[in-house]
Amino acid sequence: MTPSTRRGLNASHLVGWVPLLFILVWAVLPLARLGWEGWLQVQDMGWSLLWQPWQDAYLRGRVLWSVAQASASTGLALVLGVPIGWVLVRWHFWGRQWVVRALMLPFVIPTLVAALAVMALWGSWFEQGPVLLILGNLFFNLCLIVRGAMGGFDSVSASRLAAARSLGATPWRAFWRLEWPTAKPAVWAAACLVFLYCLSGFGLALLLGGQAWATAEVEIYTRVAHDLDLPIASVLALWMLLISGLVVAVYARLSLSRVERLRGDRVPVRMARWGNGAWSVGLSLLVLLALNFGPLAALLVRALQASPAAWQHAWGDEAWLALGNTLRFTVLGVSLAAVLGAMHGWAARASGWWRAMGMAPLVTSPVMIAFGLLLLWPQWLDQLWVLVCAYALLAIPLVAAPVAQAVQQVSPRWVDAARTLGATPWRAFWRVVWPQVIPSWRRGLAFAAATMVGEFAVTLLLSRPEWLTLSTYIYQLLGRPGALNAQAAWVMSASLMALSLLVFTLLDVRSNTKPESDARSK
Amino acid sequence: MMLELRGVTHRWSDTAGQAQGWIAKDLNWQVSRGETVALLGSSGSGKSTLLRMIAGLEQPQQGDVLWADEVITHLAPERRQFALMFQDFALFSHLSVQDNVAFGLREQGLGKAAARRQAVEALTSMGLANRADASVWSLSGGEQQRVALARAWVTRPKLLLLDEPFSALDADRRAQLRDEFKTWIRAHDMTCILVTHDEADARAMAERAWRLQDARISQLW
Repeated sequence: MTPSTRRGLNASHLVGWVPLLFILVWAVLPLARLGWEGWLQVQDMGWSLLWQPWQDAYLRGRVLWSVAQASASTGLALVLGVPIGWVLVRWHFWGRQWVVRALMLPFVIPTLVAALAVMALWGSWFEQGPVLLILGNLFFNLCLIVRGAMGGFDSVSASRLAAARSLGATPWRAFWRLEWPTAKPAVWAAACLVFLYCLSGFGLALLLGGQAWATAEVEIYTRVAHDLDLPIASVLALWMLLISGLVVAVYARLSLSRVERLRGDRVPVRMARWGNGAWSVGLSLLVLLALNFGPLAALLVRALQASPAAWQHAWGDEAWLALGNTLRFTVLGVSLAAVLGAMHGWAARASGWWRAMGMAPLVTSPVMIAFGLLLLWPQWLDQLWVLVCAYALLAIPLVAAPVAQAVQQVSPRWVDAARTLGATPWRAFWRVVWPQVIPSWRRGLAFAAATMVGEFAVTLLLSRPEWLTLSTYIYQLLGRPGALNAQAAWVMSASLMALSLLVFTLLDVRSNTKPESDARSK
Repeated sequence: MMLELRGVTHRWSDTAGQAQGWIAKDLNWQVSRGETVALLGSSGSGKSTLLRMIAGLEQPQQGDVLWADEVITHLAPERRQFALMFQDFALFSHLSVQDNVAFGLREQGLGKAAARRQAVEALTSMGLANRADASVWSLSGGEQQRVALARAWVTRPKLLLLDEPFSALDADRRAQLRDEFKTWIRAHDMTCILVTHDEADARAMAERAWRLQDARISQLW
C-alpha cells in the first residue's frame, strides 16, 4: 500500500468515525444495554433463565417458528425469484422496462400498508397465520431476490458464455456451469438479507401472523409493552441477536464478493415470442402479479370502495396530526441520515468491516433497538430528538449502502488522473468522485425518506400520544371496533402508500442510476 | 539531467501487503530535457509502476526521484506538474469533452470560461473542435486518445508520461496516432516518457529506449 493510499484510508476512517460513533450510541449501546439487562436478570434469577427460551415449550416454539417462517419465505423467494430474475435479464417483451421499475415498489411500501395489501387480496382465502405471513414476506422479499438474481445474471460475460457453448455445453449446462456460478454470490447475499428481514420483521408478523403465530419479535414486543416481563424479553432478545449476528456475518462475507464483467460484454437480450420465451415471461409476470402487484391493486380497490363516511372519518383531526408528525419526523431523520450516511458510505468503501458496521441498524430488529433505548435512557424518552435519532439510525444504511457502492465503482485511475492534473485529494474527491456518487446518494435518500414515512416498529414502542404518525394511526384504527374504522384503515393505508410513492418519486426524479438499495422498513 | 531515478528499489506487494517480486533493484536512470524516451518491458515487468512513481502516485521503498537535481520523492502528485496519460485514458464520464480538457486548467486556478476557451483551442488543434460538448462515451477510441492527450498537454506539464497509449488501437489508427503524437510532442518541446511493450511504438516515437527486465534497466538504443 502506498503512503498516499494509506493517507486516504486514514482520512476515510476519520470521516467514518462520526457516523460509526452515532451507530454506536444509538444501536450498539441500546443492544448492549439489552444484553446487560438479560445478564442482570440471569444473575438475579439464575442461569436457568438464559436457557428458558429453549426449555419452555411455548418460547421454544416462538424462536423455532421465527426461524422456520424465515427459512420457508427465503426458500420460496429463491425458488420463484431466481428464474424470474433470469427471465427478466434474458428476455425482452413489451413493458419489460416498467416491470423492472415496478420491482422497486415493495421497497418503498410501508410495512403496515404491505400487511393490509396482502390481507386485501388474500385475506378472504386465508386466516391470520402462517400462510398469510409467508405471503406477506414474499410480497417484500421476492423482489429482493429477483433484483439480486438480475444483477448476478447481468454480470455474466457474453464471450465466456459463447466459449462454453462452442466447447460443447448445452444451454442448460452453460447455465449450470457458468451463469449460475457467476450469479450465485449476488443471489446468496440477497437470500441472507431476505432471511434477516423475515427473521427480524415486526409489522408483518404482528398483523399477518397474529398472536397464535407470533414470532420472537412479536413475543418480545408483547412481553415489553403489555406484560412488562423484561427478564424473558431480554433473554429472548439475546438469542435472537445471536442468530441474526451469525447471518449478518455470512451476509457481510458474501456482499464483499464482486463479479467483474468485461466492458460491453453483456449477453444480448432476446425478444420473447410465442413458443420461444413467451411461456416463461408469462409465468414470471403471473407470479409477480399475484404476489407483488396484485395486493397493492386490491388495497386500492378496497380504499376506493370505502364509503364517503369512512373517508371523512379517516381524514379527521387525528389524521392531520399524524400527517404533520410523519412529515416532520421524516424530514428531520432523513436530513441527519443524509450527512451521516454519506460519510459512512465514503468510509465504508475502504473496509468490509466498516461496511458491515454500517449495515448493523438495517439488520438489527428495530423492536430490539427501541427496547434497548427504553432501558438505556428512560428519562429522555419524552424528548423528540430521541425519536429523530432513532429514525436517522434506521435511515443511515439506506443512504450509506448505495453511496459506498458508487464510491467503489469510481475508477481509482480517475482520482490518479485528477491528482496528476493538479487536484489535491480533497479537490479530486469534490470534482471527480462526488459527482459520480450524487445520483446514488439521491436514490438512497429517496429510499430512506419513503421508508421513514411508513416507519412503524420504533414509532410504536417509543410513541407518545402527541407523536402519532400515519403508521401508528392506522394501527390504532385496526384496533378499534366497527366497520367504519376498518374501512378508514383501508383508506389511510392507501393514502400512506400514495405519500410514500410521492416522496420517493420527488426525491428520485433526477436520479438515473439503477436502484442499489436492498433495504426497506420492517 | 531533468529527471533522475537514483538507487530506486521496490518490490510489489500482494493484497495482504506481503512483499512479492522485484520491480526495481538499485535502479538508476536519467532523462534529459526535451527528449522522448521509451521504457519497454513485458507485461508485469513493473514499467507502469515505475511511471506511477515518477508521477508521485506511488513511492519507492528505497531510493529517490529527482527533478532538476531536486529530490521530489515525497512531493504530492499535484505539485509535480507531470501529466500522466493512462492506458485506459481515465476520461471523466460525468464531464463533457471540453470540461475534461479544462480540468487541469481549473486546478491551476483559471476561471471556468477561460479554462473552457483554452480547452476548445486545444481540441481545435487536435481536430476535435466539433466534439467539445460531446460526452466522452460518444467518442471513438482514437478520439478518446486525442482528448486524453489534450487534457494532459494543455496544462503545459514539465513532463509528459504516456502509459501504453496505443495499446487499445488497431494497427492503422495506431500508426496514424503515433505520428500525430510525435509531431505534437516535438512541436511543443516536451520531455516525454513513453511506456510500452511494443518495440514498434518505441522506435516510431522515441530517441532513446530502455528495457526493464528482472528489476534491472538496460539501454536498447
